[in-house]
Amino acid sequence: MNLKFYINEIITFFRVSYFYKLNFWSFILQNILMFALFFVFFKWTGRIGTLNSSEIITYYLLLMAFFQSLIPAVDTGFFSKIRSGGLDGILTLPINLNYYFISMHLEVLIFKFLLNSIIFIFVGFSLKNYIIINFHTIPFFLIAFSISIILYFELRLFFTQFAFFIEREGALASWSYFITMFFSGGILPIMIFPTLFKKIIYVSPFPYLIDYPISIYLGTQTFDLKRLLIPLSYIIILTVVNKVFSEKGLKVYMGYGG
Amino acid sequence: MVVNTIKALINISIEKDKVYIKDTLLLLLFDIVNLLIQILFFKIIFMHFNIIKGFSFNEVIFIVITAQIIEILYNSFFMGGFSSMSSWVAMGKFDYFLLLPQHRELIMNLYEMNMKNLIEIIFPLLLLVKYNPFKYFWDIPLYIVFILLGLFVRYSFGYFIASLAVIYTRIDTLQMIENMLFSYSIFPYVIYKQIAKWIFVVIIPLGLVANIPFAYFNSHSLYLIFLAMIISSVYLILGKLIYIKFLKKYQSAGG
Repeated sequence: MNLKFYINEIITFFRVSYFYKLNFWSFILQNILMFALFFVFFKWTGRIGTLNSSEIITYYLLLMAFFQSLIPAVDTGFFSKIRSGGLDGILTLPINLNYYFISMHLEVLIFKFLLNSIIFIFVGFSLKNYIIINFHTIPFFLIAFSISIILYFELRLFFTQFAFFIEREGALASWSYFITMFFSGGILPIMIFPTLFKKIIYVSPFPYLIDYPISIYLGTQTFDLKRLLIPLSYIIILTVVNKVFSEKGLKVYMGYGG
Repeated sequence: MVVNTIKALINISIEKDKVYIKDTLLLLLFDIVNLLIQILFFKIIFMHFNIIKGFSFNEVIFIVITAQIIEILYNSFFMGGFSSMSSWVAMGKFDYFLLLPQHRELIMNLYEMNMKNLIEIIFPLLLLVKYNPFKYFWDIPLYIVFILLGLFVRYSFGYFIASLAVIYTRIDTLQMIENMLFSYSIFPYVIYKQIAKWIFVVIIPLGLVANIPFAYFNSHSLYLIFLAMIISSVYLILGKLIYIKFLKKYQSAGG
């Protein structure tokens, strides 16, 4: 019964998104324009460090097609739900609060992935001279990509649950988004960073969101089970922390709704 | 009377920031980090080169600083009002502005000013001391004029996008793209060629904003200045036309 509820939620939100046509088309345009901007810039710069133009352009193609959506921003809607008392209505439902918010966001993610897959296949074909196709790394890439999706939800839940303890989300939203984006390779590939800096960043969970899966695809890093232990450990730790956070948060939560 | 209203709006903005002082300070700190990261972006790229196709690190940083100053001015005065347009139309608050006897659009644009952002202008200005291409004293007032022209380009495009809320109600994603794209107005204009020039200079004038002062001090290019004035005027007129034409069709959602 729960699964049916979550699927219905996804379908409803999808319909709402489609209803606002300009917003819907903006979703489509968003990443194409960003990719075009990076494409013209890196076509102009040429090779940077160990990465040639094709590798950089393929990096940004994959980034804009899938990984741009995996930068764990704070769910600002959760903050406004808490402030307006909207959480009361959800708490009375026989569902898990965290799953509920994941399902609400999952619709956006599925929507973006499906849409971007179609669009960026066309973009890839039209720029086939610049795009690297590595069939043999795809299975490993898919494993790293799946881990990055789980890590994304864990980090997003972690940042969002601060809503129980702080009043305003502005600073937290900006900091969490920007730090994650920079250290995960959402602005520049970590591969071109200085070596020491690169090693330090790779101990944190962030590069496993973007830089690691794309490096696996490009073949600039090999798929290593030992290295996978780092993101998997973070997933386990964050699952426990999020559970504790959620329980503690609900204890301090006070409904302001009418 | 309108001056008093604007003064009151400034006071409200300051008081809001005082209430959430911790958040305000963290946001200020964040914007400094944001500027540093933009510089770091080019620092990492320039670690592998001394000059990229004729452009030095200092020249590129001058564009970054200029872009930052223009964004700070835009965010302080106009961004809040433009971003709220969607919710004003959806929730019916737009009606309040329509009932105003005069200076309706001016008050609407400045309604959500964010004065805290103005403090941030100190940091790019400090960097400007090191990374400026000024040779003569009159270069400074000239730079201010070009900054204002860049702001005019940014404002007119933002105004046009915000005006679409009257027709489409939800324009938040479009505004998100707009803000995201303009945060990359830090790239030198020479990267935009052929179709990219049409997209990122003419249709979305992000290639103009910070490049107007840069192009002038770099090559005294008057072409970009004229282009900036024409494109800004077109977007202002389009925005105004949308207001006039679609206000007749606007239906209030307010109670």
